[in-house]
Amino acid sequence: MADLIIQLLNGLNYILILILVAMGLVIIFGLMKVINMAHGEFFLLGAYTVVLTDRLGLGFWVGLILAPIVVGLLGAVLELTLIRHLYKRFLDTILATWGVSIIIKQTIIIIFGPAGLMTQPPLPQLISFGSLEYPAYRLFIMAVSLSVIAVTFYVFYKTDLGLASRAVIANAPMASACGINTRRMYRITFTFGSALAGLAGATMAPLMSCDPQMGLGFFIPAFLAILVGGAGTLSGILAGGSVVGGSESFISAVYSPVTAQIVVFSIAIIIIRARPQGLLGGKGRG
Amino acid sequence: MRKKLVTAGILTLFLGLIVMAAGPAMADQKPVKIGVVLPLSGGFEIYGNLGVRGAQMAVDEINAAGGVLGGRPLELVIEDNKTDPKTAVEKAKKVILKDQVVAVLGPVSSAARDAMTPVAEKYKTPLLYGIDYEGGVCNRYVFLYSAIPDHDMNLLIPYMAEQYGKKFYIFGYDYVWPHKMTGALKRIVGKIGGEIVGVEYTPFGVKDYAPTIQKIAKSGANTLILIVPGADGFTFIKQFTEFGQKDKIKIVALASDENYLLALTPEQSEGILTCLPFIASLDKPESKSFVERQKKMFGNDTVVTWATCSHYGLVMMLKEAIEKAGSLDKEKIIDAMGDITLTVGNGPETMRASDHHMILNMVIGEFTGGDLKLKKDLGQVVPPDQCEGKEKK
Amino acid sequence: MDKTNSAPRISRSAAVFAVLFAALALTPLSGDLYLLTQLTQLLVYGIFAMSLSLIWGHVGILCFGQAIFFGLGGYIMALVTKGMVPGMTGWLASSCSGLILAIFVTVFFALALGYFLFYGRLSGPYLGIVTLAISVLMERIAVNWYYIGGYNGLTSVPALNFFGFELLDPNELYYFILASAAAMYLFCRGVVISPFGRVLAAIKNNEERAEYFGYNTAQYKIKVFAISAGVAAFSGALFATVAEFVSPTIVGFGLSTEALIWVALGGREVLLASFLGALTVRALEAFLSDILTYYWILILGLFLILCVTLFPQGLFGRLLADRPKS
Repeated sequence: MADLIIQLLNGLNYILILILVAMGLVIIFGLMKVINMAHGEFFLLGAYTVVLTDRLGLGFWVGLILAPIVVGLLGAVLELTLIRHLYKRFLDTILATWGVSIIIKQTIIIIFGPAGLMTQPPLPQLISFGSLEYPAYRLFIMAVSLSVIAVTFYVFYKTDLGLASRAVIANAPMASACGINTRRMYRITFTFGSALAGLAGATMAPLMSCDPQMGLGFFIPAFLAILVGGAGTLSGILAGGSVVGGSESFISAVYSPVTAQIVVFSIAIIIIRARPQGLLGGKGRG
Repeated sequence: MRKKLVTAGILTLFLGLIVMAAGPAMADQKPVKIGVVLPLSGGFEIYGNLGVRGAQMAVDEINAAGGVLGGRPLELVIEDNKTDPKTAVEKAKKVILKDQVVAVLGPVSSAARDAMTPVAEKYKTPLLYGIDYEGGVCNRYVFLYSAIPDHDMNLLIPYMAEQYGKKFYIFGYDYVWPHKMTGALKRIVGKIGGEIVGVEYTPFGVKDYAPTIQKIAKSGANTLILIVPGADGFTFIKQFTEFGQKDKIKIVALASDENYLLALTPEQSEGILTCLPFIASLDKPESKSFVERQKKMFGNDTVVTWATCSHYGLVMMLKEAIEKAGSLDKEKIIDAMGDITLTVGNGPETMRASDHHMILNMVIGEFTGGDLKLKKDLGQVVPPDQCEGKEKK
Repeated sequence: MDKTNSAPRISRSAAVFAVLFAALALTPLSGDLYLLTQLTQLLVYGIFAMSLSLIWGHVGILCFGQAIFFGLGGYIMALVTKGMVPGMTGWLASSCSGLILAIFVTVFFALALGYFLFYGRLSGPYLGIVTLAISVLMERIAVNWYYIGGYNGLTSVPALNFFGFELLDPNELYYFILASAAAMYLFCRGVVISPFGRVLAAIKNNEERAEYFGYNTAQYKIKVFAISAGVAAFSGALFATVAEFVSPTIVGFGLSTEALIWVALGGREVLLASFLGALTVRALEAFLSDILTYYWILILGLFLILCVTLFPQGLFGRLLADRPKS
């Protein structure tokens, strides 16, 4: 029984991690129809911010706060210089942001070196519930993820900014005609989405070793989760994250991590093909 | 006018004589090149860098003592194979064809070595490999300054069974080396009447080992044999410690060495065991001298491990072989490079001519108190002939 | 423009083709063995680049996984010629059958994949991400499939052997590859200027409009996807014999994106420009990566961004494009 609970916790942990990483991406993609291939590298930057503050002796919490600010700012700069020229050209944004991801990754390699670096979790204790023991830090990560989801939902559904965003998602020219400054919306969205990526990276850094290649490893499952769940809605990522994250965790526990990756990717591809609008997506579009 | 011509003529003759005299002397100085194809990026660079430092120290010491073949200096041509077998093949071809090296030193992963071996055969150039591996290679063109399961696992597993219990769990990367090591481990565990309670493989780049750690915790194993070197291994050990499993299950981490001290906290590395031909804290004169020379050359913070020793040893042996052969004919050098005995960091070690494998002195080391210390000195280990029953290619 | 009495004008692309291949044909005279072996491999990459240009530059399909086909071709060639395919022994394990099987199997696979992708109304960015996921998936499968070598891949792939004539001499091999590259170029060019090709251009220009004209665009896309896969597979099979080695990296994401960079930088819309893009970028990399190491990839990323935003025609695209017919 205790065993089952731990497995469930692990699964939930992975699902929430995936959602945390994908949240920023889903907002940017949903609103701006921009696929930011550098999202994984924004995640990377968040993680390395924590590495940096750790090396400088400033500790983890400073890094956690700094990361979304730094990466958000970078996102704003990127939007201003590059992305806004490419709004109508979807394929080109993929390639251009891919170029950005290469540059960011190489810069990290040049500054920090190619090897993996470790930081220590700020909460190394184990929490016990009766006979169960679970690392406190993983519970912290889940808490962060849930908070981010809550905040994002609140902003989207309970604030004027959120209302404006939903209008732009639904019909951008119409929203513009109604007086919403779409240019400003795009800039805010991209900044916010990037900041979320940075936060995700910073939160995850103490759990594993940070190496420059880790961006892609999170980006692909996150993106598949978005496509599976439905790209236009926030609840879509919750569904997609649960399906992708849950099945990977489950198959990993029952069979092996290797099988899990292959099976989950295949399932995701099939679902996307069968239902391009995703499980919860509304309009059928490709 | 005529005086000027004569003077000019004499001067030219004089210069010519000088140049002619210097010519052969300069030719004597033409360096003998050794190709180095090691990973300096991509995941296994911690081992690649050690190999480079070992080789460089050997080259410097040889050159300071007069070089080879009457004064010719040795020179390393260093190429990064990016921990990728495909790149390793390209770089091997490059150093052999373009730089005309007399031998290739490297690589690290068994995958890269298996890929480079056909290149060594095709261009008849010796490949000098200095990393512990799964055993079984029998090839005229490959020399292996390596510990194989008969050196390490054969002795470590019975020790673990005796001290900690007979149940083992194996967790490794999903490629050739861990798979073959598992085969060897199964044989050894079977021989001592132990039990393997689980075997699992993982792809590269997994960041979250929670499900696997759960499985290991449930399995009832006394010892975990971890065949995940590099950064992913550190991540695993970190998470394993965080789940509180370190006190319950002992870890034997293959290919773990002093590098682990840099990446892990003392709490995380405490109690991990390994079996190697050399550890830096050995209290023998040759060990201390080796570590000291490395630190003098590369700085006080330099990590010195078995990989440094093996690559140093290979270059030293190559030099001896060149001298014995008396020329740069690669076939002659290969013939001369057998049955050479050297002391590098841990007693006299011998490269056998019969199968190009080593007789090594092994130790069991334990990570304790933030350092890698000697747990048991196993002395000399003579592995079975790897070419027995095989045709040497 | 009086067309009646002027001599027939040689198109720019034909002229460039002639000059380029003549120059390449003369390189063995330099005697540099290393240069020759390097160039042989570069030519193979060039053919691969042309396959990508065919679907991306000429039809507008962004495939993030082109190396899937390259790798499939390479692996099949290696397996067949090493006699590792059950049932294919003796004369069936020759280079000829290897090449034929490599192309056929890959084309078939591409047709199936094409049906899967294009009829699902997947377009543009979605297609990009899905092909990306597929190439990652295939690389994982290749790493885990023991029989085909796993992470190690397969070594000692035999040299090309046509009816007993083994291409062991580097010069002979070079000329064979050069001739293959020329042949592939002419083939792709034939596709591009044929009526089929013109419909493809229409689809690239505006797919909806082409549909309104009555063309079944999905069918056209599937066909060109399969053709491009066949060319990629051919280059992959050649690669296996030139490098004498295949491994999961030739099937995966890394090589796919490298190819995208060559084609983007060279000029995706012109076959020869993509060909030159592959040669130039790889040659520069071999040359500069020792000097610049990490900075080289950084510069490459920068160039990619510049090309995508400011120079969609790439470095060579403008120079090599035919003048529009008046």
